[in-house]
Amino acid sequence: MAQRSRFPSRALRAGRRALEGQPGVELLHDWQWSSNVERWFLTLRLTIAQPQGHALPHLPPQTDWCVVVSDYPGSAPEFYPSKAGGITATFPHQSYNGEGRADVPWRSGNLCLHRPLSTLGRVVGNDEPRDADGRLLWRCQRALAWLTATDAGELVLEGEPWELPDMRGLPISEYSFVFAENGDSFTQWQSAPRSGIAELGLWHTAPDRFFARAFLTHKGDEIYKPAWGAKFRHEIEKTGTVCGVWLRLGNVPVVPPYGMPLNWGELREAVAAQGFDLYDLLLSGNPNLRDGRRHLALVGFPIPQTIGGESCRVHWQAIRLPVLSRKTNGFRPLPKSTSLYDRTHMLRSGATLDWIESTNWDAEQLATRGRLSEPLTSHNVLLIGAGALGSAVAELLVRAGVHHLTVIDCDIFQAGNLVRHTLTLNELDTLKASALATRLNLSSPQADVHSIAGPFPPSHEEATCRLREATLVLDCTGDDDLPGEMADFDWKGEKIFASCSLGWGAKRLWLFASQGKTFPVQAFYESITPWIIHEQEEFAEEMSLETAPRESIGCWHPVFPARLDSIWLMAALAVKQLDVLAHTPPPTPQLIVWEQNETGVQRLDESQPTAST
Amino acid sequence: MELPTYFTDFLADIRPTDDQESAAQEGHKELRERLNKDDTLSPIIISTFLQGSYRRSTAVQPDEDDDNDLLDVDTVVVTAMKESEFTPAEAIGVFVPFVKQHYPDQWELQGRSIGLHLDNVDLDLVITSAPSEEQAGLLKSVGVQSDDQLEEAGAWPLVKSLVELQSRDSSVRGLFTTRDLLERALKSNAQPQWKQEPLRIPDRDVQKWHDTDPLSQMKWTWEKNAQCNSHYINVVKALKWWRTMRQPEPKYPKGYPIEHLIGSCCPDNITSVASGVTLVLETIVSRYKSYADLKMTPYLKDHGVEQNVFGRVSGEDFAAFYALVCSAATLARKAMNETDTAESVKLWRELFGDPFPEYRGGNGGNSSSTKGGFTERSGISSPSGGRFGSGRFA
Repeated sequence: MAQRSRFPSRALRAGRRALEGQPGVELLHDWQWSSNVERWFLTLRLTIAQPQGHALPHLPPQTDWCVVVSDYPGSAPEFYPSKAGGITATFPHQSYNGEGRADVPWRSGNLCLHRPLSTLGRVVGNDEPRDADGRLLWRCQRALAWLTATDAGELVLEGEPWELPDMRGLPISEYSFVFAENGDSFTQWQSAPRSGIAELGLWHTAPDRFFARAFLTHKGDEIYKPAWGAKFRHEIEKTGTVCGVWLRLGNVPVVPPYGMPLNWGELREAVAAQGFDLYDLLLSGNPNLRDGRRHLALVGFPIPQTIGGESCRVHWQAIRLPVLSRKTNGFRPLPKSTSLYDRTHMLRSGATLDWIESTNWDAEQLATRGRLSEPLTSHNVLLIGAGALGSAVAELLVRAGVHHLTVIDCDIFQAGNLVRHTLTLNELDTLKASALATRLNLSSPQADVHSIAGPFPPSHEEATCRLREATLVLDCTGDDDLPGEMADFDWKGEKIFASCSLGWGAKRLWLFASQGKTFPVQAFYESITPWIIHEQEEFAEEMSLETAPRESIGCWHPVFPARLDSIWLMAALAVKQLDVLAHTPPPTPQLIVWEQNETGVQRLDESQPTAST
Repeated sequence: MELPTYFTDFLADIRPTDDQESAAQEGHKELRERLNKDDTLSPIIISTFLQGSYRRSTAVQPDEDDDNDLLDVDTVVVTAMKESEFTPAEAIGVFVPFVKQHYPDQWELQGRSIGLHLDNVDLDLVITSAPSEEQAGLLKSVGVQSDDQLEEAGAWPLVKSLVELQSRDSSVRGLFTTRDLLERALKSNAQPQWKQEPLRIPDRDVQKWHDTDPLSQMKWTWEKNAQCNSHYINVVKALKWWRTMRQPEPKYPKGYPIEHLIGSCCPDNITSVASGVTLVLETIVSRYKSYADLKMTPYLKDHGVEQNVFGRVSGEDFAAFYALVCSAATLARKAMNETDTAESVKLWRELFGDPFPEYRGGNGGNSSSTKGGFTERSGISSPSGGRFGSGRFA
């Protein structure tokens, strides 16, 4: 009996029927199943309607494409250049266009058709249909628009976001490299030499990730040191030094029009096109590289934010070098000869580059998903109290960009705290302040969080000095004595003070804010006391010793009830208010009150309880 | 417009279904196994093979609304019964005990065969008298006895590469195995007299042995298909569909006579099913006008045997059929010449009905539309959220 081969689904068939009669689109071969990659694909010929010939290298008016789908129309059809009749260069908005797999008839450079690029959006709307009839056709029209735009020299337009050449199709190592560069460091680099030594560190739990610690000249003078948080820097310094070489180009090195070099020959050419000699920059006098181990080469170049824009920061792309020659292997024992040997052997033209995924961990780069702004992020915050509210507020502040924080608390973290704290089982029976500082330092590479495990005010002079460095003092203790202690403390300078506390069951959040050299404890009590009294009446029954929740059965010590969702809700509101306060410190002390009810949370207009509250 | 992808999908939907094909193959296989195990019959059986539209890949789906319309499969049993020793009725009678035993309540004596009406398929058991020794050798060959259709069951694409028709896709290489074997056997110089020796089947009604040449029919079909860039069998299927499903009256001509007519009116080197369909219809119109006017049945010689394929069609029926062909030819030509995709699809659907896919595009694929020829989407798109899609995230 004849073997059944696979049938394309109705959706696939409907998708390619929609291509009938479309100008510029010719179906060369209907859906075929590739058992090597388990995908359906069809072969199309696309023809540019009115070729202008502005593309470099030249784009033929007709090109052949393999359209590959996994699940249609659920996932997007991808357009790959056919190995027969397809383009061979890598253009912008295209994955690296190499030979790809030997067992499929397409190259690796699929087109990026889904982005809302204005040049494509002008012709075919940026909304990609998700139905079987429309999705393949849309992609096809986008591909034609891509070709037309490329041919006209209009694929990348000024003002659009600049992007690095795609590296996904290139062989990428399992290693990765992390650096930190921004506008400020860019200025520092302007006067630097073209190459030098790089000091790299590792993270103890991730031995395949290299971190840039410092950039030095060949002589060892420091040029630039990324601004890592103190704890972070300590972590990457304690693992020992890995040595590398850095070299700085004028531009991203590409194989025209926009492909990353695949091998040493292509890199050398790309670098030469900028007027530099790759091997000179790489191999001039660094004996530390020749210790029989593999080192990193960091290729740096300035990049802009947008196409046509000014360069605004340095990007590094790391390469894992092969082991360089140490002995002379028959050549005379001169640095020049080892270099020559390297050029003709390990770094010969055809040798593939071992590119390493390289990312910028500068604060702004990491925080594109959202962060707090100046001036709050520039504050040096002192957090008094690392309890439920304090830990939540601290987490929100540090992750969202407040990197300088000191936590002071004398308590031990216990199991009963788990239900509404950010610390975990790993930190049981440790001091809350230190444990919290460690956790916060691990939440950001720039975090610089310190802890003081002890009461406020501290007895050590060093701790006292640190407290005085704070510019924003945040009390999250809910302690009755603390306001007085804050008032008694000599802060030696103007601070913004904020005292946050929660009412019974966290129904209310009170945030008392002021600015000055001392904490206005009188004003504090005057504003808060009416609320305390109000709540004592409101929750008289719940507060009574008989009914209040206790630490545990058999223990007489009552605990303050408040669920985590309420605490996080209030903590978030507090942080938003801190953002406001940092912008506009209160001229006179103020109390802001938020209150929860069945419908949500609202900020009260009155700062004093009224009959209706 | 020729709309090759629409035709591909139309043909995929009118071919017999997987279930129907399985039923046919199983039915035939079971029959052959039973025959070979039968103590009385197996000594006199030289070979059994499939014939008919199913084998030639020119069968279309039976009418799903008619329970009695099942896929028809012919099994030819070449026997050693000499015409000098058996009358046609006796020869058929030899098989009656077998069918009574294995197919009780399912068998029926027909003029030239025994019909076996199984649940999911109609098998026709066609018996032949003894062939010559040389021909017997041919009839035993693997290629003849294979169950494979001309077009490999379940193969995709049904329409080969639209540009590179010479290069064969490896996934359909098995397609040619059977044909290659049979072609070699048929072309072999050792059997030149095969062409002069059709098989002989008994006709109970007229008490005569009747010439038939299924192998010539198969060979002719395969060669024609090759000359027509593999579109011929699809043209046959499309027109058979039109004939049986769209124009059921008059009842005759139907079946093989239609196929034969299409074959004789189909030009070589057609480049698409659409053009083949149109040209066949137009050729019938121009070639048989005088016959239709005079209500006369034309003579169409069968392959390999001297008989009129249209022998059973009355002049009246032929004239009525001719009138249908005229309308269809006009419609097909209109559909071919139409340059707007939506309109062209509409016209083809008028000819072929529902299995021909609907047009589901936007405002049409006309090259004269604005924006450099790109179609505006008027269908449902995901709501705009810029780079975030619908604008919801977590």
